[in-house]
Amino acid sequence: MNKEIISKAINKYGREREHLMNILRELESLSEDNYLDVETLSELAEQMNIPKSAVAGFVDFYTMFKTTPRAKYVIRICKSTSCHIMGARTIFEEIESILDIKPGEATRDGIFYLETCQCLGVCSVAPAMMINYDIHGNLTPERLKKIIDDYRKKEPVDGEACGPEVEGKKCIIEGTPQTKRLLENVGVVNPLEIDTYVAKGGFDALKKALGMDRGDIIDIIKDSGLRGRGGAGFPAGMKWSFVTKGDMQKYVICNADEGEPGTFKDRILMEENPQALVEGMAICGYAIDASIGYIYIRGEFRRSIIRLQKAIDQARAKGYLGKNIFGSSFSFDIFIKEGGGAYVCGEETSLINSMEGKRGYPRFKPPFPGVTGFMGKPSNVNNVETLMSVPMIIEKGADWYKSVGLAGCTGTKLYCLSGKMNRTGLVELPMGATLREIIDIHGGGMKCGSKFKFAQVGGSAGGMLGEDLMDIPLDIDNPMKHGVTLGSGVVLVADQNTCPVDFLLQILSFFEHESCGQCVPCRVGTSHLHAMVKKFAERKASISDIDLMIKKAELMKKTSLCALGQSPVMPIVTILKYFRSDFEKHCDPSHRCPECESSLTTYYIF
Amino acid sequence: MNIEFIIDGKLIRAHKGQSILKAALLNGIDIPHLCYHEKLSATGACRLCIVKVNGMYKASCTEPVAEGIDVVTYDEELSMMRKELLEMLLAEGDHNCLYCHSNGNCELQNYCYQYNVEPPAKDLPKNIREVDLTSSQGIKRDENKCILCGRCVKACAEIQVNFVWDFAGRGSHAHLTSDMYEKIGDSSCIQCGTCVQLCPTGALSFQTVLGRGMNWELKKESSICIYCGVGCKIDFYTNKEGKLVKAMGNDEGPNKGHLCVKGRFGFDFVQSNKRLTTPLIKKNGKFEKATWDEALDLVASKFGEIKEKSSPDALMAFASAKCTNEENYLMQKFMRSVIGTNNIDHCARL
Amino acid sequence: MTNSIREIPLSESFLIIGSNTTENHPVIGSMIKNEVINKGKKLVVVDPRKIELARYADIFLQIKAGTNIAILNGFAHVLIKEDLYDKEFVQNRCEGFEEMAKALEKYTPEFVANICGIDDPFKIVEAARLFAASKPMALYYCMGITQFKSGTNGVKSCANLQMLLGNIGILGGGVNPLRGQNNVQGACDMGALPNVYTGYQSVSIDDNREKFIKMWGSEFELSKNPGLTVVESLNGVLTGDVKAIYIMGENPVISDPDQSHVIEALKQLDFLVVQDIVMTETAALADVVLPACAFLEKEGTVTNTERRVQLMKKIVTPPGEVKEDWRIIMEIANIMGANWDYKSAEDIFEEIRQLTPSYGGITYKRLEKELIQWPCPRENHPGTQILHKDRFSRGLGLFSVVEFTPPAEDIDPQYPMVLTTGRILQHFHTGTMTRNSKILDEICHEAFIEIHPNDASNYNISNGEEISISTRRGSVRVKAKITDRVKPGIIFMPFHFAEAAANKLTHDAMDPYCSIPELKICACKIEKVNAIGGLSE
Repeated sequence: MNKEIISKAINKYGREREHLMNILRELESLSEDNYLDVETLSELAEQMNIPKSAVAGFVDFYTMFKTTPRAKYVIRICKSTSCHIMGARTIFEEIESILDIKPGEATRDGIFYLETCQCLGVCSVAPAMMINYDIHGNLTPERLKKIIDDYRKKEPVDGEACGPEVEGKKCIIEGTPQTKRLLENVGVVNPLEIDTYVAKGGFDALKKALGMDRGDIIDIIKDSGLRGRGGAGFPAGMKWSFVTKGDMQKYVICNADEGEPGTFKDRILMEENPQALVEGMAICGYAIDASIGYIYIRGEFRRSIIRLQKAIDQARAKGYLGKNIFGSSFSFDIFIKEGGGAYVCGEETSLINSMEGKRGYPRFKPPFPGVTGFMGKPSNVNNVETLMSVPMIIEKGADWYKSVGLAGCTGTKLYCLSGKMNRTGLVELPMGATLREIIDIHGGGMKCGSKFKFAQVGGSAGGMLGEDLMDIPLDIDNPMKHGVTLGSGVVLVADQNTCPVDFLLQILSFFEHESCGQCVPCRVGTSHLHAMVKKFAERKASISDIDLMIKKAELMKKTSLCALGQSPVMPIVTILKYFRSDFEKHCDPSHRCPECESSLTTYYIF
Repeated sequence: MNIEFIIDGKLIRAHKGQSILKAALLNGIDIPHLCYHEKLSATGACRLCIVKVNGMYKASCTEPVAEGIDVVTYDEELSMMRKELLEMLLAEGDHNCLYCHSNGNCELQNYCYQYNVEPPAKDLPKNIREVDLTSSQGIKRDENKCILCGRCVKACAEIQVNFVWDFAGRGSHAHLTSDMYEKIGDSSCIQCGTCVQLCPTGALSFQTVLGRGMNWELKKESSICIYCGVGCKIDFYTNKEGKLVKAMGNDEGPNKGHLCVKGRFGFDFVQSNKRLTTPLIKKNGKFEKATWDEALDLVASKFGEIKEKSSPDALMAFASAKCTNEENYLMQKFMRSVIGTNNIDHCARL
Repeated sequence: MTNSIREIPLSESFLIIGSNTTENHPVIGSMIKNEVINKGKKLVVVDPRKIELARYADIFLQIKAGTNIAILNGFAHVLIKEDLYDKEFVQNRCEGFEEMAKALEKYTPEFVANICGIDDPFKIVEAARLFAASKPMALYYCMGITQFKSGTNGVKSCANLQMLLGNIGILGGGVNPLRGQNNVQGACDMGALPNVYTGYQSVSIDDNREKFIKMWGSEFELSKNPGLTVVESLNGVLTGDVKAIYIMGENPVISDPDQSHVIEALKQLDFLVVQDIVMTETAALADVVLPACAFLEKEGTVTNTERRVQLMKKIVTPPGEVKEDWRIIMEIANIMGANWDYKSAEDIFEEIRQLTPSYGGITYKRLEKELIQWPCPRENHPGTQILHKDRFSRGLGLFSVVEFTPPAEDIDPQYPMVLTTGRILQHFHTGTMTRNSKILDEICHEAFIEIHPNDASNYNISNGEEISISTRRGSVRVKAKITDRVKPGIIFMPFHFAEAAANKLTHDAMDPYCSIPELKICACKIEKVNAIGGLSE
């Protein structure tokens, strides 16, 4: 790539290292074959005056980048659990036969390049794939063929051209008794027109907040009982109050790196109601005295990026962002930072490193981001769903907010339904809905011919729920008493056809793939766990390996630096709670398991 | 010293902001650690220094001290955990001490021995990483002995400040890169060797060291570097035959343990075969070996003769900025009090 | 250095002028880089070449070689004009301000930029403002200040600037010359200079002579006439005044300016004694060669750039019949009638400290465990980390009126390019040591010149091509390295390589005060080898 193109990209975003991701993503999309050659990277390092090794290490960390040529179109087939259950292997085999290539290869004509990928955030329309930035769901062999044929003929679009099935508002389950607060305006406001949001009372909450004392806002959020919706459930008001006070620059950071397999709520919120996120961030910015907000958003969510950028631009034009908002002394602006394909960047300190143009290694805590965050300055990081709950709390009050939900866990929760139910998609229910209620009422029961086997709640890092836990309230605290977790609100339902060994194989392969590799227990542990469960799938394991696996996962839980390495123990222990005998059966070399065999041939034997 | 807390039942005082590990080390309590190095910022990667703080597991290198906390650094469970972590490290790499220049001077080896770690199971996955023993004149890299502690990355970033090393890859495929995935000899590495000095295993090593003496046979003595005016203090290692083997930066010198490529590798001229070994006298345009008595008598008589025949000021001496204070002193004393001239100078201006 | 290496973290900003620190003093270079890159401290670099530190500088001023004084005066001009100087310090601690201020009036940014060849005069203003805003600022310089006919004045300008800013006598400030050799400081301290005894006690002062005669038990009066410098003595040979030279551990054939002149002089001597570790280019010309111990074969003390005295230890046994330098000198002295009886280096040091007030309190025993920087007058004195803390040696700090003067040899149509010389990272001085080190010589084993792409294309030179460089004094062949580290019109050449000795080209114009040769600049011409009937096809 010539020097001028590189310097143009640098000038567009800025010379500072924090813009590295955006610059690289721009350069990669400008390259014909969707890759970044090392000469380009070296030249970039030179021009930005950052170490070559830092650029090399950065590019190598994020899966969306590649340093060898790909093709005009990069096809990424999702192999995460929801897609896996819904038939990703078939799609995978089909595409291999259509294109006559294996993953990591390009077609001879240089049009298609094949890769596997992790969750694309469209789990209700699994199985799914992404072609450049276009996501397509509900794949069947026939549809796949048609889509590929279409792409042969067309040119890549500047932006995205996703299939109609992945559109946000279409991924919401309608017609069941829900408490729609976050979803109230979805499908009502036009995400591309800020006026439609304003017409529904948008930015009234911000105006109200600017007339209030900063401390009072934090008190209201505290009083509302709003807890983080990203997975950890930390009280939001408390987090805000921990941000260091003083004259220094402070930041609001929205964690929109929705990557937990099975989760797609934030994508829908951002696509369908982006102004509400802008408003929530501005209120948070005022409360913690920050003047700049960043949205760190998955690079795969091109549509969300485009719509959010539009929302920001319109808000700026209307004076809802910028200097002296509503004539007050408060100034605030929002910028988007993109991710490059790394699950671990959903961890808030990894996210901050990634924003700074570094590898997404989690930082040790303390210091917490509220004290030392982005660029070493106090930063408050909240999930999309959390921040979008803020305007309505300010508007309608804490009492209104906690009028639904449970005592320690108030408000509504977005549950992401996927798997073997009649209906899949997003529902908004008061905190504490039960699995039975979710499957029977909202999911419309198990798919025809399907029998409930287990549900994984909380994503790949969550635990398995069997029949016995069908009636526990799925809020933040109750599941923990049973060794499971609500996490980000994933409800993935598996039926009798799912082999627990095969299912765990997908989970543990995911963790190995997504471990950042910084700390020993996670780097080595995820790789060992994956190898061990693979031994069961291959029917080469011995029964004692079951306990070895638990022991290793427990060590990881105790010693890992961040939540990623601490996670595998829950799916392992909970799946073994119900299906230990399946694992034992897999120790017999003569045991036949078509599921495991299919996974082994699809994903491991190239 | 404004914070008091307990480590293993003992009352410890520490500064606010200090890590538990640092406070422990300063109080003579050794907690195993591999990624931590006192000269570098904390990483928290190896997790070997994990302790119980009020019953919770914390990495002591990154956990700050706090008033009244109760820290346990050793119990059966922690020992077991450390052993398992060490097993993971052994399984991940290819650690064969028989062929390793670090044998006997390896922090990983020491801990494995201390914790009675056994050889790892053979069927565990390994990633074959880069072995580059020849591209650089000074530094060898065998990443299969690497534990990805990151000391080399930080040594290059925080001490030499050249940022040649960084991590590449991810997860179990993580590995090191020098510059843009280049061989170390092709990279911008200027071979100060600080990364090697801080490497806790044999992953990075110096050329010319292997085979020149087992680590436990080497003798160490410090002196001052002969090159520029910084005056770096260097620990020189010699083997049983009295041959120089390697140079390591000494922490007490003005260099605080750091060296440049000259200090690191530029000592071998001392034992090169180009050294003069006897006095030489030029006869008929050719040098001939002489005894000290012959040579010195000749010098003294010639100097005496010129001093008498011409004047003391017909003699001149060049002292040397590479000689000691004592030698320079003696040279000027010689010229001034024996020859009788102030004609003495050296290359201070060059 | 007025200050200490360990204060580098305490400086808020740095001015590096005439020092390629990361190559010539790499350990200090890294310490400064750490402050600038990792901790956000400010850096201003002034150099004719785009040296590595220039990459990290907030302001980089690529000046014409030999214009240091103009730019330093320019900084001072701005500080005074914008009222940014430290008035309290100037008033209480200094004198001569008014005269200097008057002389500085004409050094406006535009005037200076014109002399220095800087496009944007405002950069000079910005740099001066930066110094005023980020205190303490530490000034580091090296031979790029001193190796000029105006070397002494360059140093005075540095002092002027730091006194104006009040950066003297405080932690993290100072005027900090970086000494190029491991004991150049000590050799000076020890009186290996033509005009002073140890501790800079002048030979012209009667009391000093008395003191030394008494201590040394000298049979005759010590000479009160200052002696000759290295360069003067070589000229003295050619006039017949100097008949014999005794050289200990130096290699003037490579290190001194105008090589053919040096060789001519050495050949003309009645008697040349060279004492060294290997057969150097200079030793080859000697009548007697005496084999001496290398640094790891003997004990003794050395004094570094921050005046820190350190002990060297004997690590290995010397080869053959090799002796310590001090022992050889003692033996010659004793044959000539002296009666010296030093048993060890420590014996000599004990004598040194009795004669040298600044070393008076230093003992080998203390050096084993203490960090001591001179002046250290008494055994209970901790040594001195910062010079001029409460008062200058002369009382008040004297501002000097220093005018810019152009270098001795200007370019002309016959010699249209400027040649500047220096060192590179992997080699040291004349290469006696580093060229005999396997790894260092492997890393870099031949001489080169740095030339700007524009010049290279004007002369039709390709990268790596062997070319001829000539001055009025001589000519060498050397490979060209095309790089924008140098500006057009100037070439840089390292002087370590005997086979292409830069000092065949340099000239020996000298600073009138301290006789330092103007090694950093002379006029030269470049020719393609085939154009002058060379070896190429």
